[in-house]
Amino acid sequence: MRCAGVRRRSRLWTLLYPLLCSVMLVACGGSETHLDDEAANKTAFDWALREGVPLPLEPAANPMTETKFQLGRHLFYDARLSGNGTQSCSSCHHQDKAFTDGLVVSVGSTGDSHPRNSQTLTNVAYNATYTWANPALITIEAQMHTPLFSEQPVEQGIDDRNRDAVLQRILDEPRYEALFAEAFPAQGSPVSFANIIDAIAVFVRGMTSFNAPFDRYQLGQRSALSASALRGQELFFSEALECFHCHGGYNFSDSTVDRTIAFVERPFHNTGLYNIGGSGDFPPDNQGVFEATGDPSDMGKFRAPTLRNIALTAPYMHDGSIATLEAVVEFYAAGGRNVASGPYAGDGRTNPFKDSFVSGFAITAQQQADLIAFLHSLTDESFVTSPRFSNPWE
Amino acid sequence: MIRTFPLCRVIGTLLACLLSVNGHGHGETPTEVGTRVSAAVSVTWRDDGMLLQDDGRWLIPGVLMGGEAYPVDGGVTVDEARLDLAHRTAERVFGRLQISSHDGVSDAEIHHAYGGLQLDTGPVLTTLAAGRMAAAMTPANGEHASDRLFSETPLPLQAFLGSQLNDDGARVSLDLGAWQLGLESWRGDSFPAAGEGEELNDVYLHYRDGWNGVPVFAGIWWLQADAVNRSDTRYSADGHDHGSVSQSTTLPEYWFDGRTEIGGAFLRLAGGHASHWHWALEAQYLQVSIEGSVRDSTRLAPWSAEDNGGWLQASLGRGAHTLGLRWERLVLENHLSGAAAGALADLTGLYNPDHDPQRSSAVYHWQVQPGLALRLEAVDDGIQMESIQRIAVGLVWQAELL
Ligand code: HEC
Ligand code: HEC
Repeated sequence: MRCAGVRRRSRLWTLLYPLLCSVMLVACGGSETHLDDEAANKTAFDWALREGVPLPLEPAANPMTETKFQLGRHLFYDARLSGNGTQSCSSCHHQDKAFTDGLVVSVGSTGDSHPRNSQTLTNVAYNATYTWANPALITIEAQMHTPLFSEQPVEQGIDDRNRDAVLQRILDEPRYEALFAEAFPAQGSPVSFANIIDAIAVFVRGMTSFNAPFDRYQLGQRSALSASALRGQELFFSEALECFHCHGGYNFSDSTVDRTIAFVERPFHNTGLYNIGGSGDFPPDNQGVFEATGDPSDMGKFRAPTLRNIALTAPYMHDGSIATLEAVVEFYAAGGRNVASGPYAGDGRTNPFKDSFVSGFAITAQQQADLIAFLHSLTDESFVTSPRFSNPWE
Repeated sequence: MIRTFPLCRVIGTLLACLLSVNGHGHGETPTEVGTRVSAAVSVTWRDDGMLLQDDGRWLIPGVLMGGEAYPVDGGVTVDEARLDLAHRTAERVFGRLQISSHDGVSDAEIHHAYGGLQLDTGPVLTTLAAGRMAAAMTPANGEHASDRLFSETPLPLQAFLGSQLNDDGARVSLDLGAWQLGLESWRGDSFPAAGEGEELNDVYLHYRDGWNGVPVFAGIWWLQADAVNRSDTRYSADGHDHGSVSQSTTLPEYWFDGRTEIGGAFLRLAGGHASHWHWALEAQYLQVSIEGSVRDSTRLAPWSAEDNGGWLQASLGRGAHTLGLRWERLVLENHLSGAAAGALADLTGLYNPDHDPQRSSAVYHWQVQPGLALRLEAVDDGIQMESIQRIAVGLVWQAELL
């Protein structure tokens, strides 16, 4: 924090200082701070960040360019990029919902239900890992293979049988010729899945959102937050509610990387959503990091997602099992969720792997409303209306 | 008090409060045989406190704060309260125990707990002492509000020694005539060191004599401190709980690893007679060089600093009335590098583009009774970029209980 205010040197000093300095050698020279970021903050791409937010990482193998961004935007919104020509990324990532789909769980191009809730693409460039719970997935490029090619569940459903047909559809679209040529200028025939993945990754990485009322308040616009939202902010960052431990920092997630970060942390947390039969278990198709590591203590651990644009991304949690923000706050206030009946019955509040920061708290109706008002102040209207991220085919 | 010389005793009683060249506040060896118990309290009312950050911390822009560098607050505060017990035998064995609270912090702590021995080794008098002590490289270290003419701790000590260097350690000092050479080695738990088994050593050369009837006390010193994982513990659970930080806000956490070297020089002169005109002058200069890195949980930035700071103090009095002036100034030159340089400079308070923190103070000191003094102070505080003024009214009580 820099101390604001005007510089006022006392007259006395101005008169006496040169004298004292020469006589007594007291405190000579002048204060200064040299900051040498070693070019880490150099970028050719317009990230549209606000002051105080560092630049995200940019993979050396796929540097950010505006031409790739524009190609990626066309591909993101193009249903031809699916096995049966019915689904694009935008089918499950709608701009008006901060790139989620409003469903409890997503549905793939062939009707398969995904076990998980679609994630916002808000500031994904800053994620330390990708998807709800995969410690090994650390680049968007790598993540892209899942929606395009996965078979379990089928999303866009591109496979060996339809690969060539999908590429042909892209080649047949006249707008792509120029877009590919500009994005990958030195290549003879640039229409390949490798380039498609790189271009979409650049587009998705470029989806930054730092223009919420919260940001305007941070930049000094005192009227940007209502009195209620300000009280909610205080609660959010309080030791009583603990939210900030997992949803802290400029991106409201403890799983954040940027160029300034030297020690990358990739944390996951069990928030006590389930405790099937009291053994700590989560539903079989949604067991969090445990699915990747097989380590019993990883049961039910998920990444704390960004809370930016959270008011637009209901329903909530990895399985969409909480419908509203009110219910989310009640869930945290209770210190977890008690599933009373059904196949998943069990008291999540006593899940043995639950994170100690989810310990429950007392909250009044007014405080709950304040906290939610604060969460609403994280909504960046320009992000969900910006033509830059919108469908170019319309 | 300096009892060994009858003449000095008279002047000493008064000069004690003006000059602090005597041995009450800081780590001086008890010089008289017998037991002595003394107490002191300094209470001050200020119309306003120092400027703090929004989160309640006190930072000097450009300084990596730590130790016990606490700000002064508005209202009434007990700047210092202490009880001091010293004992010395005819065999030149001595011990000292002092319990005190200082810098407006409410908890009392053991400030001195040491024992030692003096050996007459030919022309040289060798003194060995070990335990918890204030470092003796400059007499200003470990002097508190009731020892000083001014109630506020000198800024360079706040910035570079975390208010004071007080640690567990050992001292060897060699006296030859007016000269004293001292070597001190510390456990290294205190600012500017930190961490288990880190190095914190200092060496000093003092000269104390009369010069044409003017008492002179001068010295040069050098200190080296290594720190591993040093954090600003002032406001954390293991530090003191200083009232002004709101408990609901979370303070940034960061650490320093590296070496601090400080070179210092001082001069104290005094003259006149207690019952007539008397005067005193003091100059202190510290040159600091730091090499290391600062980091938080995810970021790291190599950091080096070339700082200096000092103060000048002058006082003139007649009888029980003394007027004094003090000028203090810091120059802080920081270099941070790496991608996180900007972010960490901001977080740690090291960012200071061009402001030289400074403070000018004036004091009127009235020794109402031998054991009680009144002091009025006016301070022009330019520590932050915005300068503020405050006034203070204080009482200093000092007593020899035994
Ligand atoms: C069938 C619906 C569906 C489609 C189509 C789809 N996604 Fe997703 N997306 C999801 C779901 C569900 C998740 C969460 C996956 C998980 O946790 O396993 C997700 C996660 C992601 C993430 C990770 C976000 C984060 O915060 O870690 C990114 C990035 C992403 N999708 C981008 C895309 C892109 C680009 C496309 C087009 C190539 C695409 N998605 C197509 C449903 C879909
Ligand atoms: C121990 C870490 C932790 C704490 C503390 C915590 N959260 Fe979360 N939060 C998470 C994780 C992990 C998830 C995802 C859980 C899942 O899907 O199973 C999550 C999910 C959410 C979601 C839904 C996000 C989405 O996109 O569906 C909201 C809203 C939320 N948290 C708000 C809060 C609030 C408000 C608080 C404070 C009362 C809080 N969180 C405290 C870790 C935490």
